[in-house]
Amino acid sequence: MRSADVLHHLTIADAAGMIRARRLSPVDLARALLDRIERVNPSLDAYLLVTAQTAISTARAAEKAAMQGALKGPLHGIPLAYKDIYDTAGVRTTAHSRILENNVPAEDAETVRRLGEAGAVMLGKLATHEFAIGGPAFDLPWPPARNPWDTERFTGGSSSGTGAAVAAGLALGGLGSDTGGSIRFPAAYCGIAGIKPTAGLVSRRGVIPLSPSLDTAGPMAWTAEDCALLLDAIAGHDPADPASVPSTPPPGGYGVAAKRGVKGLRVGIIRRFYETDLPATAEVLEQMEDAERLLKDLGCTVATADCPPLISFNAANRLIISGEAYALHEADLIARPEAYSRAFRVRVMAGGVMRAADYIQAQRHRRALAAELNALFSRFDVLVTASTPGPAPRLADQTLDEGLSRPTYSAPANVSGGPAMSVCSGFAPNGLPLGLQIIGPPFGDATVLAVGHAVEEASGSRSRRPAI
Amino acid sequence: MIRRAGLTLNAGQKADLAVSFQHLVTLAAKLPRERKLSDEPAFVFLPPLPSPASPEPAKPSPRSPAAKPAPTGPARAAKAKPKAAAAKAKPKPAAKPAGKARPKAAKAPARQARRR
Repeated sequence: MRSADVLHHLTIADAAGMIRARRLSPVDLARALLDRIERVNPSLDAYLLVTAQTAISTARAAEKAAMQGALKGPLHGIPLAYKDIYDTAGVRTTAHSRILENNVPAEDAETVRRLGEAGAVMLGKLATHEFAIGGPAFDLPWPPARNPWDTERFTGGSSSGTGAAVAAGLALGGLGSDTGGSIRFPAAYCGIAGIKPTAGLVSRRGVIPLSPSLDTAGPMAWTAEDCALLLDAIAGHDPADPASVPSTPPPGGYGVAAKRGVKGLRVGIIRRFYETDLPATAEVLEQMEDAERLLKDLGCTVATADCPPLISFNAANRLIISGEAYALHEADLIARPEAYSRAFRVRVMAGGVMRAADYIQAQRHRRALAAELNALFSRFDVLVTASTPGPAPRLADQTLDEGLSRPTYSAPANVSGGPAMSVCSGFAPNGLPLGLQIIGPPFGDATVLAVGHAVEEASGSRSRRPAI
Repeated sequence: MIRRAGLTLNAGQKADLAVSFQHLVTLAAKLPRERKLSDEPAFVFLPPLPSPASPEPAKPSPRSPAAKPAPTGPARAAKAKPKAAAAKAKPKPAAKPAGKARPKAAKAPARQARRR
Protein backbone atom coordinates (compact mmCIF):
# COMPACT_ATOMS: atom_id res chain seq x y z
CA MET A 1 0.00 0.00 0.00
CA ARG A 2 1.34 3.43 -0.92
CA SER A 3 1.25 6.19 1.63
CA ALA A 4 -1.56 8.73 1.44
CA ASP A 5 1.04 11.35 0.57
CA VAL A 6 1.48 10.00 -2.93
CA LEU A 7 -1.93 8.54 -3.72
CA HIS A 8 -2.87 11.80 -5.41
CA HIS A 9 -0.04 11.29 -7.93
CA LEU A 10 -1.19 7.86 -9.10
CA THR A 11 -2.16 7.54 -12.73
CA ILE A 12 -5.63 6.25 -13.51
CA ALA A 13 -4.12 3.05 -14.94
CA ASP A 14 -2.04 2.43 -11.80
CA ALA A 15 -4.88 3.23 -9.42
CA ALA A 16 -7.24 0.97 -11.38
CA GLY A 17 -4.75 -1.89 -11.16
CA MET A 18 -4.35 -1.42 -7.41
CA ILE A 19 -8.11 -1.23 -6.83
CA ARG A 20 -8.60 -4.37 -8.91
CA ALA A 21 -5.92 -6.16 -6.89
CA ARG A 22 -7.56 -4.90 -3.66
CA ARG A 23 -4.36 -3.10 -2.72
CA LEU A 24 -6.04 0.31 -2.76
CA SER A 25 -9.34 1.35 -1.24
CA PRO A 26 -11.35 3.77 -3.43
CA VAL A 27 -12.41 5.47 -0.18
CA ASP A 28 -8.78 6.03 0.85
CA LEU A 29 -8.03 7.33 -2.62
CA ALA A 30 -10.98 9.75 -2.59
CA ARG A 31 -10.04 10.95 0.91
CA ALA A 32 -6.42 11.52 -0.13
CA LEU A 33 -7.57 13.61 -3.08
CA LEU A 34 -10.07 15.58 -0.99
CA ASP A 35 -7.38 16.31 1.63
CA ARG A 36 -5.05 17.43 -1.12
CA ILE A 37 -7.75 19.69 -2.59
CA GLU A 38 -8.32 21.28 0.80
CA ARG A 39 -4.61 21.95 1.22
CA VAL A 40 -3.62 23.01 -2.28
CA ASN A 41 -6.71 24.42 -4.01
CA PRO A 42 -6.57 27.78 -2.18
CA SER A 43 -3.26 28.41 -4.02
CA LEU A 44 -4.54 27.23 -7.39
CA ASP A 45 -8.27 28.04 -7.53
CA ALA A 46 -8.74 25.02 -9.77
CA TYR A 47 -12.04 23.98 -8.17
CA LEU A 48 -15.17 26.11 -8.15
CA LEU A 49 -17.08 23.49 -6.18
CA VAL A 50 -16.06 20.37 -4.26
CA THR A 51 -18.63 17.58 -3.87
CA ALA A 52 -16.94 15.85 -0.95
CA GLN A 53 -19.80 13.90 0.59
CA THR A 54 -21.05 12.61 -2.73
CA ALA A 55 -17.50 11.60 -3.62
CA ILE A 56 -17.08 9.61 -0.42
CA SER A 57 -20.43 7.84 -0.81
CA THR A 58 -19.64 6.95 -4.45
CA ALA A 59 -16.21 5.73 -3.38
CA ARG A 60 -17.79 3.55 -0.68
CA ALA A 61 -20.02 1.93 -3.31
CA ALA A 62 -16.93 1.34 -5.47
CA GLU A 63 -15.11 -0.22 -2.54
CA LYS A 64 -18.02 -2.57 -1.94
CA ALA A 65 -17.99 -3.55 -5.63
CA ALA A 66 -14.23 -4.16 -5.46
CA MET A 67 -14.60 -6.42 -2.43
CA GLN A 68 -17.37 -8.35 -4.21
CA GLY A 69 -15.30 -8.67 -7.38
CA ALA A 70 -17.94 -6.65 -9.20
CA LEU A 71 -15.88 -3.77 -10.60
CA LYS A 72 -17.31 -2.36 -13.81
CA GLY A 73 -13.97 -1.46 -15.35
CA PRO A 74 -10.82 0.62 -14.94
CA LEU A 75 -12.67 3.81 -13.96
CA HIS A 76 -14.60 2.25 -11.09
CA GLY A 77 -13.57 4.16 -7.96
CA ILE A 78 -11.36 6.65 -9.85
CA PRO A 79 -11.66 10.30 -8.66
CA LEU A 80 -12.34 12.72 -11.51
CA ALA A 81 -13.50 16.31 -11.86
CA TYR A 82 -15.26 18.19 -14.63
CA LYS A 83 -14.88 21.59 -16.25
CA ASP A 84 -17.80 23.67 -15.04
CA ILE A 85 -19.53 23.71 -18.41
CA TYR A 86 -20.55 20.06 -18.01
CA ASP A 87 -24.07 19.73 -16.63
CA THR A 88 -24.18 17.79 -13.38
CA ALA A 89 -27.60 16.83 -12.03
CA GLY A 90 -28.36 18.71 -8.82
CA VAL A 91 -24.88 20.24 -8.70
CA ARG A 92 -24.34 23.88 -9.61
CA THR A 93 -22.91 24.40 -13.11
CA THR A 94 -21.85 28.00 -13.71
CA ALA A 95 -19.59 28.11 -16.79
CA HIS A 96 -17.51 30.32 -14.43
CA SER A 97 -19.99 33.09 -15.17
CA ARG A 98 -22.21 35.42 -13.21
CA ILE A 99 -24.85 34.71 -15.86
CA LEU A 100 -25.27 31.12 -14.59
CA GLU A 101 -24.18 31.72 -11.00
CA ASN A 102 -27.16 29.82 -9.60
CA ASN A 103 -27.73 27.35 -12.42
CA VAL A 104 -28.45 23.83 -11.17
CA PRO A 105 -29.05 21.38 -14.03
CA ALA A 106 -31.62 18.65 -13.68
CA GLU A 107 -29.63 16.10 -15.68
CA ASP A 108 -26.05 15.07 -16.18
CA ALA A 109 -24.26 15.76 -19.44
CA GLU A 110 -24.11 12.53 -21.43
CA THR A 111 -20.35 12.25 -20.81
CA VAL A 112 -20.79 12.76 -17.07
CA ARG A 113 -23.56 10.16 -17.10
CA ARG A 114 -21.32 7.66 -18.89
CA LEU A 115 -18.46 8.23 -16.44
CA GLY A 116 -20.88 7.80 -13.53
CA GLU A 117 -22.09 4.59 -15.14
CA ALA A 118 -18.46 3.44 -15.29
CA GLY A 119 -18.18 3.99 -11.53
CA ALA A 120 -16.05 7.16 -11.57
CA VAL A 121 -16.07 9.29 -8.41
CA MET A 122 -16.88 12.96 -9.07
CA LEU A 123 -14.81 15.25 -6.84
CA GLY A 124 -16.28 18.52 -8.06
CA LYS A 125 -16.47 21.21 -10.73
CA LEU A 126 -13.48 22.96 -12.19
CA ALA A 127 -12.58 26.49 -13.23
CA THR A 128 -12.84 27.50 -16.87
CA HIS A 129 -12.57 30.69 -18.83
CA GLU A 130 -16.04 32.25 -18.79
CA PHE A 131 -18.24 30.16 -21.10
CA ALA A 132 -15.01 28.49 -22.30
CA ILE A 133 -13.68 31.68 -23.91
CA GLY A 134 -13.55 34.76 -21.70
CA GLY A 135 -10.50 34.55 -19.53
CA PRO A 136 -8.39 34.51 -17.50
CA ALA A 137 -10.55 37.15 -15.82
CA PHE A 138 -10.42 38.80 -12.41
CA ASP A 139 -13.83 40.49 -12.63
CA LEU A 140 -15.90 37.32 -12.10
CA PRO A 141 -17.30 35.75 -8.92
CA TRP A 142 -14.38 33.28 -8.88
CA PRO A 143 -10.71 33.93 -9.63
CA PRO A 144 -8.94 32.21 -12.54
CA ALA A 145 -7.01 28.98 -11.98
CA ARG A 146 -3.24 29.17 -11.53
CA ASN A 147 -0.50 27.00 -12.93
CA PRO A 148 0.85 24.51 -10.35
CA TRP A 149 4.36 24.65 -11.86
CA ASP A 150 4.46 28.36 -11.01
CA THR A 151 1.39 30.04 -9.59
CA GLU A 152 2.29 33.33 -11.26
CA ARG A 153 1.98 31.59 -14.62
CA PHE A 154 -1.04 31.08 -16.86
CA THR A 155 -2.65 27.63 -16.98
CA GLY A 156 -3.77 28.05 -20.55
CA GLY A 157 -7.45 27.82 -21.29
CA SER A 158 -10.18 27.49 -21.42
CA SER A 159 -10.05 24.14 -19.56
CA SER A 160 -7.84 25.88 -17.02
CA GLY A 161 -9.11 24.16 -13.87
CA THR A 162 -8.81 20.68 -15.38
CA GLY A 163 -5.22 21.38 -16.42
CA ALA A 164 -4.25 22.73 -13.00
CA ALA A 165 -6.12 20.07 -11.00
CA VAL A 166 -4.69 17.09 -12.88
CA ALA A 167 -1.13 18.44 -12.82
CA ALA A 168 -1.28 19.21 -9.10
CA GLY A 169 -2.80 15.87 -8.12
CA LEU A 170 -6.22 17.30 -7.23
CA ALA A 171 -7.92 14.79 -9.57
CA LEU A 172 -6.61 11.79 -11.47
CA GLY A 173 -8.33 12.97 -14.62
CA GLY A 174 -11.13 15.12 -15.89
CA LEU A 175 -13.09 16.56 -18.74
CA GLY A 176 -12.31 19.63 -20.79
CA SER A 177 -13.64 21.03 -24.04
CA ASP A 178 -11.87 22.26 -27.15
CA THR A 179 -13.23 24.76 -29.68
CA GLY A 180 -9.99 26.46 -30.68
CA GLY A 181 -7.45 24.65 -28.47
CA SER A 182 -9.02 24.73 -25.00
CA ILE A 183 -7.93 21.20 -24.06
CA ARG A 184 -4.48 21.37 -25.65
CA PHE A 185 -3.37 24.78 -24.26
CA PRO A 186 -3.82 23.85 -20.59
CA ALA A 187 -2.49 20.35 -21.25
CA ALA A 188 0.70 21.91 -22.67
CA TYR A 189 1.14 24.67 -20.09
CA CYS A 190 0.34 22.39 -17.14
CA GLY A 191 2.42 19.46 -18.42
CA ILE A 192 -0.34 16.87 -18.75
CA ALA A 193 -2.04 15.00 -21.61
CA GLY A 194 -5.27 16.10 -23.24
CA ILE A 195 -7.00 14.97 -26.39
CA LYS A 196 -9.52 16.79 -28.55
CA PRO A 197 -11.22 13.75 -30.02
CA THR A 198 -12.56 13.57 -33.56
CA ALA A 199 -15.60 15.84 -33.88
CA GLY A 200 -18.69 13.72 -33.27
CA LEU A 201 -16.90 10.92 -31.40
CA VAL A 202 -17.91 12.22 -27.95
CA SER A 203 -21.36 13.57 -27.13
CA ARG A 204 -21.71 17.28 -26.34
CA ARG A 205 -25.22 16.89 -24.93
CA GLY A 206 -25.37 18.77 -21.66
CA VAL A 207 -22.12 20.63 -22.30
CA ILE A 208 -22.77 24.38 -22.31
CA PRO A 209 -22.01 25.38 -25.90
CA LEU A 210 -19.64 28.04 -27.18
CA SER A 211 -19.53 27.48 -30.93
CA PRO A 212 -21.61 24.43 -31.82
CA SER A 213 -20.02 23.76 -35.20
CA LEU A 214 -16.58 23.53 -33.53
CA ASP A 215 -17.18 22.46 -29.90
CA THR A 216 -15.60 19.15 -28.91
CA ALA A 217 -15.68 17.44 -25.51
CA GLY A 218 -12.67 15.43 -24.41
CA PRO A 219 -10.55 13.97 -21.61
CA MET A 220 -7.49 15.34 -19.82
CA ALA A 221 -5.21 13.31 -17.54
CA TRP A 222 -1.59 12.88 -16.48
CA THR A 223 -0.85 10.42 -19.30
CA ALA A 224 -2.04 9.60 -22.80
CA GLU A 225 -2.95 6.12 -21.58
CA ASP A 226 -5.24 7.62 -18.93
CA CYS A 227 -6.87 9.82 -21.60
CA ALA A 228 -7.47 6.66 -23.60
CA LEU A 229 -9.17 4.95 -20.61
CA LEU A 230 -11.43 7.98 -20.19
CA LEU A 231 -12.17 8.04 -23.92
CA ASP A 232 -13.23 4.39 -23.73
CA ALA A 233 -15.98 5.44 -21.33
CA ILE A 234 -17.21 8.59 -23.05
CA ALA A 235 -16.87 7.85 -26.78
CA GLY A 236 -19.85 6.53 -28.65
CA HIS A 237 -22.89 7.63 -30.56
CA ASP A 238 -25.50 9.78 -28.84
CA PRO A 239 -28.59 10.37 -30.99
CA ALA A 240 -29.50 13.37 -28.87
CA ASP A 241 -26.37 15.26 -30.03
CA PRO A 242 -27.05 16.14 -33.69
CA ALA A 243 -23.29 16.18 -34.38
CA SER A 244 -22.67 12.75 -32.84
CA VAL A 245 -21.44 10.13 -35.28
CA PRO A 246 -21.70 6.34 -34.98
CA SER A 247 -18.19 4.91 -34.75
CA THR A 248 -16.40 1.69 -33.93
CA PRO A 249 -13.79 1.73 -31.15
CA PRO A 250 -10.44 0.04 -31.85
CA PRO A 251 -10.16 -3.66 -30.90
CA GLY A 252 -9.83 -3.88 -27.12
CA GLY A 253 -10.65 -0.19 -26.77
CA TYR A 254 -8.57 3.00 -26.80
CA GLY A 255 -6.73 2.00 -23.61
CA VAL A 256 -5.31 -1.07 -25.31
CA ALA A 257 -4.69 0.74 -28.60
CA ALA A 258 -2.68 3.45 -26.86
CA LYS A 259 -0.03 0.87 -25.97
CA ARG A 260 0.22 -0.84 -29.35
CA GLY A 261 3.52 0.81 -30.36
CA VAL A 262 4.39 3.19 -33.14
CA LYS A 263 7.10 1.38 -35.11
CA GLY A 264 6.66 1.95 -38.82
CA LEU A 265 4.28 4.90 -38.48
CA ARG A 266 4.73 7.74 -40.97
CA VAL A 267 5.03 11.03 -39.12
CA GLY A 268 4.75 14.40 -40.86
CA ILE A 269 6.25 17.37 -39.01
CA ILE A 270 4.55 20.67 -39.69
CA ARG A 271 7.58 22.91 -39.25
CA ARG A 272 6.14 26.02 -40.84
CA PHE A 273 3.76 26.64 -37.91
CA TYR A 274 6.53 27.07 -35.32
CA GLU A 275 9.42 28.10 -37.60
CA THR A 276 7.74 30.66 -39.87
CA ASP A 277 4.05 31.34 -39.25
CA LEU A 278 4.35 31.94 -35.49
CA PRO A 279 8.02 31.53 -34.56
CA ALA A 280 8.47 29.64 -31.33
CA THR A 281 11.00 30.26 -28.57
CA ALA A 282 14.43 28.62 -28.64
CA GLU A 283 13.41 26.00 -26.07
CA VAL A 284 10.43 24.93 -28.20
CA LEU A 285 12.58 24.71 -31.33
CA GLU A 286 14.98 22.50 -29.41
CA GLN A 287 12.09 20.44 -28.05
CA MET A 288 10.85 19.85 -31.60
CA GLU A 289 14.30 18.67 -32.70
CA ASP A 290 14.36 16.30 -29.73
CA ALA A 291 10.87 15.04 -30.63
CA GLU A 292 11.94 14.35 -34.20
CA ARG A 293 14.96 12.34 -32.98
CA LEU A 294 12.83 10.50 -30.47
CA LEU A 295 10.20 9.52 -33.07
CA LYS A 296 12.92 8.22 -35.38
CA ASP A 297 14.40 6.21 -32.49
CA LEU A 298 10.95 4.72 -31.93
CA GLY A 299 10.98 3.41 -35.49
CA CYS A 300 8.81 6.05 -37.17
CA THR A 301 9.65 7.54 -40.54
CA VAL A 302 9.71 11.30 -40.26
CA ALA A 303 9.38 13.89 -43.04
CA THR A 304 8.33 17.50 -43.34
CA ALA A 305 4.64 18.05 -44.07
CA ASP A 306 3.47 21.20 -45.78
CA CYS A 307 0.05 22.65 -45.29
CA PRO A 308 -1.79 25.97 -45.59
CA PRO A 309 -0.56 28.84 -43.42
CA LEU A 310 -1.58 28.94 -39.80
CA ILE A 311 -3.41 32.24 -40.22
CA SER A 312 -5.86 30.65 -42.70
CA PHE A 313 -6.97 28.11 -40.11
CA ASN A 314 -7.14 30.74 -37.41
CA ALA A 315 -9.19 33.14 -39.53
CA ALA A 316 -11.81 30.47 -40.20
CA ASN A 317 -11.77 29.25 -36.59
CA ARG A 318 -12.02 32.68 -34.94
CA LEU A 319 -14.68 34.10 -37.26
CA ILE A 320 -16.87 31.05 -36.80
CA ILE A 321 -16.46 31.18 -33.01
CA SER A 322 -17.25 34.91 -32.91
CA GLY A 323 -20.44 34.58 -34.92
CA GLU A 324 -21.75 31.50 -33.15
CA ALA A 325 -20.80 32.55 -29.62
CA TYR A 326 -22.43 35.95 -30.08
CA ALA A 327 -25.62 34.34 -31.35
CA LEU A 328 -25.79 32.13 -28.24
CA HIS A 329 -25.21 35.05 -25.87
CA GLU A 330 -27.00 37.80 -27.79
CA ALA A 331 -29.94 38.17 -25.41
CA ASP A 332 -27.76 38.57 -22.32
CA LEU A 333 -25.15 40.74 -24.07
CA ILE A 334 -27.94 43.14 -25.02
CA ALA A 335 -29.75 43.01 -21.69
CA ARG A 336 -26.80 43.05 -19.27
CA PRO A 337 -23.39 43.25 -20.93
CA GLU A 338 -21.78 44.22 -17.60
CA ALA A 339 -22.66 40.79 -16.16
CA TYR A 340 -19.94 39.24 -18.35
CA SER A 341 -16.24 39.63 -17.78
CA ARG A 342 -14.46 42.23 -19.87
CA ALA A 343 -12.38 39.42 -21.44
CA PHE A 344 -15.55 37.67 -22.60
CA ARG A 345 -16.99 40.84 -24.09
CA VAL A 346 -13.77 41.63 -25.94
CA ARG A 347 -13.61 38.13 -27.42
CA VAL A 348 -17.28 37.68 -28.29
CA MET A 349 -19.09 40.98 -28.71
CA ALA A 350 -17.62 41.82 -32.11
CA GLY A 351 -19.51 38.78 -33.40
CA GLY A 352 -22.64 40.96 -33.16
CA VAL A 353 -21.37 43.43 -35.70
CA MET A 354 -19.50 41.16 -38.10
CA ARG A 355 -20.93 40.59 -41.57
CA ALA A 356 -22.97 37.46 -42.22
CA ALA A 357 -21.02 37.02 -45.47
CA ASP A 358 -17.79 36.79 -43.49
CA TYR A 359 -19.21 34.03 -41.33
CA ILE A 360 -20.40 32.09 -44.39
CA GLN A 361 -17.05 32.55 -46.13
CA ALA A 362 -15.32 31.29 -43.00
CA GLN A 363 -17.45 28.15 -43.10
CA ARG A 364 -16.73 27.64 -46.82
CA HIS A 365 -13.02 28.20 -46.20
CA ARG A 366 -13.14 25.72 -43.32
CA ARG A 367 -14.35 23.00 -45.67
CA ALA A 368 -11.53 23.68 -48.14
CA LEU A 369 -8.87 23.81 -45.39
CA ALA A 370 -10.15 20.61 -43.81
CA ALA A 371 -9.92 18.84 -47.16
CA GLU A 372 -6.38 20.10 -47.66
CA LEU A 373 -5.17 19.12 -44.19
CA ASN A 374 -6.89 15.74 -44.22
CA ALA A 375 -5.40 14.97 -47.66
CA LEU A 376 -2.00 14.85 -45.93
CA PHE A 377 -3.07 11.65 -44.23
CA SER A 378 -2.63 9.74 -47.48
CA ARG A 379 1.13 10.27 -46.92
CA PHE A 380 1.27 10.40 -43.12
CA ASP A 381 -0.36 8.50 -40.28
CA VAL A 382 -0.06 11.48 -37.94
CA LEU A 383 1.15 15.07 -38.08
CA VAL A 384 3.27 16.54 -35.32
CA THR A 385 3.90 20.15 -34.36
CA ALA A 386 4.36 22.26 -31.25
CA SER A 387 1.42 22.77 -28.89
CA THR A 388 2.35 26.34 -27.99
CA PRO A 389 5.09 28.78 -29.04
CA GLY A 390 6.70 28.69 -25.60
CA PRO A 391 6.20 27.57 -22.01
CA ALA A 392 3.40 29.06 -19.91
CA PRO A 393 3.53 32.87 -19.96
CA ARG A 394 2.94 35.02 -16.90
CA LEU A 395 -0.71 35.36 -15.95
CA ALA A 396 -0.26 39.12 -15.68
CA ASP A 397 0.98 39.28 -19.29
CA GLN A 398 -2.22 37.90 -20.80
CA THR A 399 -4.00 40.35 -23.07
CA LEU A 400 -7.75 40.65 -23.41
CA ASP A 401 -7.64 40.07 -27.16
CA GLU A 402 -5.52 36.92 -26.87
CA GLY A 403 -6.61 34.50 -29.57
CA LEU A 404 -7.80 37.29 -31.85
CA SER A 405 -4.52 39.16 -32.08
CA ARG A 406 -2.26 36.24 -33.01
CA PRO A 407 -2.70 32.74 -34.39
CA THR A 408 -2.49 29.50 -32.43
CA TYR A 409 -1.04 26.12 -33.37
CA SER A 410 -4.23 24.43 -32.22
CA ALA A 411 -6.81 25.86 -34.65
CA PRO A 412 -5.99 23.57 -37.63
CA ALA A 413 -7.36 20.47 -35.90
CA ASN A 414 -10.50 22.32 -34.85
CA VAL A 415 -11.02 23.33 -38.45
CA SER A 416 -10.29 19.84 -39.84
CA GLY A 417 -12.39 18.01 -37.26
CA GLY A 418 -9.71 15.39 -36.68
CA PRO A 419 -8.26 14.32 -33.32
CA ALA A 420 -5.37 16.24 -31.78
CA MET A 421 -3.64 15.87 -28.47
CA SER A 422 -0.96 17.57 -26.45
CA VAL A 423 1.47 15.51 -24.40
CA CYS A 424 4.37 16.68 -22.28
CA SER A 425 7.58 15.87 -24.12
CA GLY A 426 10.05 17.82 -22.03
CA PHE A 427 10.78 20.87 -19.92
CA ALA A 428 12.19 24.33 -20.53
CA PRO A 429 15.37 25.35 -18.66
CA ASN A 430 13.18 27.24 -16.16
CA GLY A 431 11.39 23.97 -15.29
CA LEU A 432 8.13 24.70 -17.08
CA PRO A 433 6.63 21.89 -19.18
CA LEU A 434 6.54 21.90 -22.99
CA GLY A 435 3.80 20.26 -25.05
CA LEU A 436 4.02 18.30 -28.26
CA GLN A 437 0.93 18.30 -30.46
CA ILE A 438 -0.09 15.18 -32.40
CA ILE A 439 -2.80 15.52 -35.05
CA GLY A 440 -4.57 12.60 -36.71
CA PRO A 441 -7.08 11.97 -39.46
CA PRO A 442 -10.76 11.91 -38.46
CA PHE A 443 -11.35 8.79 -36.32
CA GLY A 444 -7.59 8.24 -36.04
CA ASP A 445 -7.84 8.87 -32.29
CA ALA A 446 -6.25 5.52 -31.37
CA THR A 447 -3.13 6.26 -33.43
CA VAL A 448 -2.82 9.73 -31.93
CA LEU A 449 -3.05 8.24 -28.43
CA ALA A 450 -0.45 5.58 -29.31
CA VAL A 451 2.02 8.23 -30.48
CA GLY A 452 1.32 10.31 -27.36
CA HIS A 453 1.92 7.32 -25.10
CA ALA A 454 5.14 6.38 -26.91
CA VAL A 455 6.49 9.95 -26.66
CA GLU A 456 5.72 10.10 -22.94
CA GLU A 457 7.41 6.76 -22.31
CA ALA A 458 10.49 7.57 -24.36
CA SER A 459 10.93 11.13 -23.06
CA GLY A 460 10.53 10.14 -19.42
CA SER A 461 8.51 13.29 -18.84
CA ARG A 462 5.91 11.58 -16.64
CA SER A 463 8.24 11.11 -13.68
CA ARG A 464 8.35 14.84 -12.89
CA ARG A 465 5.56 16.60 -10.96
CA PRO A 466 5.11 20.22 -9.93
CA ALA A 467 6.50 20.87 -6.47
CA ILE A 468 3.33 22.31 -5.00
CA MET B 1 -23.63 48.96 -36.27
CA ILE B 2 -23.71 48.82 -32.48
CA ARG B 3 -27.19 50.35 -32.41
CA ARG B 4 -28.44 48.03 -35.11
CA ALA B 5 -27.13 45.06 -33.12
CA GLY B 6 -29.23 46.27 -30.21
CA LEU B 7 -26.25 46.70 -27.93
CA THR B 8 -26.19 49.44 -25.32
CA LEU B 9 -22.56 49.99 -24.45
CA ASN B 10 -20.66 52.49 -22.35
CA ALA B 11 -17.57 54.24 -23.69
CA GLY B 12 -15.16 51.62 -22.37
CA GLN B 13 -17.18 48.75 -23.82
CA LYS B 14 -17.34 50.55 -27.18
CA ALA B 15 -13.56 50.95 -27.14
CA ASP B 16 -13.12 47.24 -26.40
CA LEU B 17 -15.51 46.36 -29.20
CA ALA B 18 -13.60 48.56 -31.62
CA VAL B 19 -10.37 46.70 -30.86
CA SER B 20 -11.85 43.22 -31.27
CA PHE B 21 -13.87 44.25 -34.33
CA GLN B 22 -10.66 45.41 -36.02
CA HIS B 23 -9.15 41.98 -35.33
CA LEU B 24 -12.17 40.30 -36.96
CA VAL B 25 -11.91 42.59 -40.00
CA THR B 26 -8.23 41.66 -40.33
CA LEU B 27 -9.04 37.96 -40.05
CA ALA B 28 -11.94 38.23 -42.52
CA ALA B 29 -9.56 39.83 -45.03
CA LYS B 30 -7.58 36.57 -45.01
CA LEU B 31 -10.53 34.58 -46.35
CA PRO B 32 -10.58 33.77 -50.06
CA ARG B 33 -13.52 35.41 -51.81
CA GLU B 34 -13.23 34.08 -55.32
CA ARG B 35 -15.05 30.80 -54.92
CA LYS B 36 -17.25 29.64 -57.76
CA LEU B 37 -20.99 30.10 -57.46
CA SER B 38 -21.33 26.37 -57.79
CA ASP B 39 -19.04 25.68 -54.81
CA GLU B 40 -21.10 23.87 -52.28
CA PRO B 41 -21.81 26.06 -49.28
CA ALA B 42 -20.58 24.68 -45.99
CA PHE B 43 -24.03 24.59 -44.48
CA VAL B 44 -26.13 21.86 -45.89
CA PHE B 45 -29.48 21.35 -44.29
CA LEU B 46 -30.20 17.67 -44.07
CA PRO B 47 -33.87 16.85 -43.74
CA PRO B 48 -34.63 13.89 -41.51
CA LEU B 49 -34.11 10.64 -43.38
CA PRO B 50 -37.14 8.44 -43.84
CA SER B 51 -37.12 5.22 -41.87
CA PRO B 52 -35.66 2.40 -43.99
CA ALA B 53 -38.62 0.20 -43.07
CA SER B 54 -41.23 2.55 -44.49
CA PRO B 55 -40.58 4.67 -47.57
CA GLU B 56 -43.41 6.99 -46.57
CA PRO B 57 -42.48 9.80 -44.18
CA ALA B 58 -44.21 8.44 -41.11
CA LYS B 59 -42.26 8.42 -37.83
CA PRO B 60 -39.66 11.09 -37.19
CA SER B 61 -36.12 9.79 -36.86
CA PRO B 62 -34.14 10.52 -33.70
CA ARG B 63 -32.39 13.32 -35.59
CA SER B 64 -35.67 14.91 -36.58
CA PRO B 65 -36.54 18.19 -34.89
CA ALA B 66 -39.92 16.62 -34.18
CA ALA B 67 -38.21 14.09 -31.96
CA LYS B 68 -37.19 16.98 -29.69
CA PRO B 69 -33.75 15.86 -28.54
CA ALA B 70 -32.76 17.12 -25.13
CA PRO B 71 -31.53 20.68 -25.50
CA THR B 72 -27.97 21.37 -24.45
CA GLY B 73 -26.53 23.84 -22.04
CA PRO B 74 -28.41 26.78 -20.70
CA ALA B 75 -31.35 26.16 -23.00
CA ARG B 76 -32.24 22.96 -21.21
CA ALA B 77 -33.19 24.49 -17.92
CA ALA B 78 -35.16 27.15 -19.70
CA LYS B 79 -37.15 24.58 -21.63
CA ALA B 80 -37.77 22.30 -18.68
CA LYS B 81 -41.04 22.65 -16.86
CA PRO B 82 -40.15 25.09 -14.10
CA LYS B 83 -41.92 23.24 -11.30
CA ALA B 84 -40.57 19.83 -12.22
CA ALA B 85 -37.11 21.22 -12.72
CA ALA B 86 -37.22 23.05 -9.41
CA ALA B 87 -38.26 19.89 -7.63
CA LYS B 88 -35.41 17.89 -9.16
CA ALA B 89 -32.81 20.56 -9.01
CA LYS B 90 -31.98 20.55 -5.34
CA PRO B 91 -28.26 20.84 -4.83
CA LYS B 92 -26.62 17.78 -3.36
CA PRO B 93 -25.90 18.37 0.30
CA ALA B 94 -22.30 17.29 -0.23
CA ALA B 95 -21.54 20.21 -2.51
CA LYS B 96 -19.41 22.82 -0.89
CA PRO B 97 -17.92 25.82 -2.59
CA ALA B 98 -14.18 26.04 -3.00
CA GLY B 99 -11.85 28.94 -3.57
CA LYS B 100 -11.75 32.42 -2.18
CA ALA B 101 -15.07 33.67 -3.45
CA ARG B 102 -17.94 31.86 -1.84
CA PRO B 103 -20.93 31.70 -4.18
CA LYS B 104 -24.47 32.16 -3.00
CA ALA B 105 -26.52 29.11 -2.21
CA ALA B 106 -27.69 27.32 -5.31
CA LYS B 107 -31.25 27.92 -6.35
CA ALA B 108 -33.59 26.20 -8.74
CA PRO B 109 -33.12 27.18 -12.39
CA ALA B 110 -36.01 29.64 -12.24
CA ARG B 111 -33.59 32.51 -12.74
CA GLN B 112 -32.38 30.95 -15.92
CA ALA B 113 -35.89 30.42 -17.17
CA ARG B 114 -36.50 34.13 -16.65
CA ARG B 115 -33.58 35.15 -18.76
CA ARG B 116 -34.80 33.39 -21.88
